[in-house]
Amino acid sequence: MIVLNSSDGATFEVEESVAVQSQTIKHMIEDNCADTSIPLPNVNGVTLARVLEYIKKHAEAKDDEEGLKSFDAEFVKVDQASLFEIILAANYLDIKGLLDLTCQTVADQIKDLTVEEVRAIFNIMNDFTPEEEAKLRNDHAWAFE
Amino acid sequence: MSLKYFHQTEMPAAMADSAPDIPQELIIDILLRLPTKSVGKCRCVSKPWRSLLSDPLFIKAHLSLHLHHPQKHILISISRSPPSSYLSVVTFTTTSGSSNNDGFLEKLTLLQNQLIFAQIVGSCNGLVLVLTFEGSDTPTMYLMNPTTRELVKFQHSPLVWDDADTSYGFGYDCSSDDYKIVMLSHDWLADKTEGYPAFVDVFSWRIGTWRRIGCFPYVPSSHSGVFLNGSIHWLALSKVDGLCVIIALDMSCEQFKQLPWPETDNTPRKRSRKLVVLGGCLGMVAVQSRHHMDVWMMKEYGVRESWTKFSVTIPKKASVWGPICLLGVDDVVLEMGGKNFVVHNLKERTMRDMLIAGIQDKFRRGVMGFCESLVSPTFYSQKWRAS
Repeated sequence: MIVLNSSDGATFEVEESVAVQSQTIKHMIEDNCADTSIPLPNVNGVTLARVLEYIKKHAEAKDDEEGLKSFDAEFVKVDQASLFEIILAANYLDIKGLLDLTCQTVADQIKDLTVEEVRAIFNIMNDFTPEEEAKLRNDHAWAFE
Repeated sequence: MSLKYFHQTEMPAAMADSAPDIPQELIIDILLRLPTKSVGKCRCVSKPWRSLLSDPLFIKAHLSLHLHHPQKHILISISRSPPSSYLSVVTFTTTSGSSNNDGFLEKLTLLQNQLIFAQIVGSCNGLVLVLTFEGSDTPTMYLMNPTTRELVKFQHSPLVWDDADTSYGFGYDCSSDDYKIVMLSHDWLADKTEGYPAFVDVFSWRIGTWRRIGCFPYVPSSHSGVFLNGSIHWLALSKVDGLCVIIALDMSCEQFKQLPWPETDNTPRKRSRKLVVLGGCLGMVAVQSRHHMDVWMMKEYGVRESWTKFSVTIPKKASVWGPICLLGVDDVVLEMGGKNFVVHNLKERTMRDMLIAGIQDKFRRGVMGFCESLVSPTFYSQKWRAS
C-alpha cells in the first residue's frame, strides 16, 4: 500500500498497482522516494479523493468498456472550478486517461458558448476595440452560423 | 496528447490573459479538441487567442487530431443558366433523433455568379481544388476551404497547351508541409510523332510556381486523381500494353508507381471506371451496365489480395453516378443523377433515397467530400503574391 498526503494534510491509502496509473507517483516509487508516504503539495484533499476514485475504478473495471464509459460520464458532472482542479491534478500526477477525459469535457462544454461566456470561464479580458472585434467577427461569420 | 509542437518560445507573445490557474499547455490541449467552428469563434476572444488559434502549428495539430473523424460534408457544384451557378455544401447529419432528414444543403456565396460552371477536382485536409470556366478556354483554378470560406485564385500551368487533354490532382506533401497541385497533360496531336507526350506539371503551394517534373509513359484518364496515403492516384492506360492501370504519384519524392489491379478485367472499355476514396481506402468503380455497378475497395493499401468487391444494383429509371463516401461502416452514399443522394447498405444490400433539406437545383456530376479544417489557403499565397 502507498500513502499519499494532500496539500491540506489529508492522508490516503491506495494499492501500489492502482497508484502507478499516475506516472508521477510511479517514478517516485521507482526512485525510492516513497518509503513512508508521498507528499503531493499541489493537490488538495477533495481533489485527490476524486482522482483516487477515478484510478481505483479504472483499475478494477479495466475491461468493462461500457461500465467505464458511464462511470466517466458521471465522474465529470462536477462544477467548473472542481473540473479545473481535477485537470491540474491529472496534469501534475500525469494520468493520461483522466487528463484526456477532463480536457475533452471542458472542450465539449465550451464549444457552443458565446465569446463572452468563454472569456468569463477563462477569466480573459477583451483587448479588442469595438471596431476590431466587429471586423474579426465579420471575417469569421462562418463560425457563428 | 503530445504537445511537442509548442515550446514556450514558439508561443505568441502574451498569453497573460489565460485563467490564472490553468497553464498555457492545458488551455491549448482543450482548444485543440474544439470543432472547427468553435475555434473560429474563440479567435474573437482576445488578441493572444487570435494569434494562437491562427498559428499554422496550431492548425496543423488541430488537423491531425480531427482528420480521421468521419467525413460528413460534400461540396457540390450547381449549374443553372449563367450567371447563377453556385457552389453548395451538403452536410450529412449523423446523429439520429430529432430530425427525419439525412442532411441539409447550404449555399456558398464563394464564386457566386462568377462562373459558368465549376468542376470540383480534388480535396485534401479540408481544402478543395475547383476549376472554373469563366468564358475563356483556359480554366481558372481556385483553392478553397469551404468551412472557413477562404479562397485563393491562381493560374493554370503556363507550360500546358490549350488543346491538350488535361487531368488534375491535389495532394499534400508531409515531408515539406506543402500542398501540391498536379496537372497531367496529354497532347493527342503530338502522340503520332513523339514517344511519351504526357507531361506532369506540379504547383507547389509554398513556392507559388509551376514546374514540369517530366513525362510519364501513360495516357491519363480524364478523371481527377484522388489523394490517399501521401500519393495522388489516377487511372491510366499503359503505353506499353494498352491495359488499364492505377498509378500513384508520391507527393514527397514525386515518383510514380503502379498499384495492383483488382481481380477483374483491365482492358480499356467504353463504360468508364473511376477512382474514389471510401472509408480511408482506395476504391475503384466499374459500371457494368445501366443497372449494375461494381465497387472495389482495397482494404489494405497496396495489397492485391485485399481488393474486396461489392455490387450495387441500380433501380430502373434511376441514374446513379457513383459512390462518394461511407457513412458509418456499412452505408455507402452515392450520387443520383444530379438530383439527390442515395444510401446503399452493404449488409442488407438495400438502397434508399436520402432526405436532404434544401436541394432545389440539379447539381453537376463530380461532387467531392471534404473534412472540416482550419487550413488556410491564403497563408502561403500571401507570401508569393508579395514577392
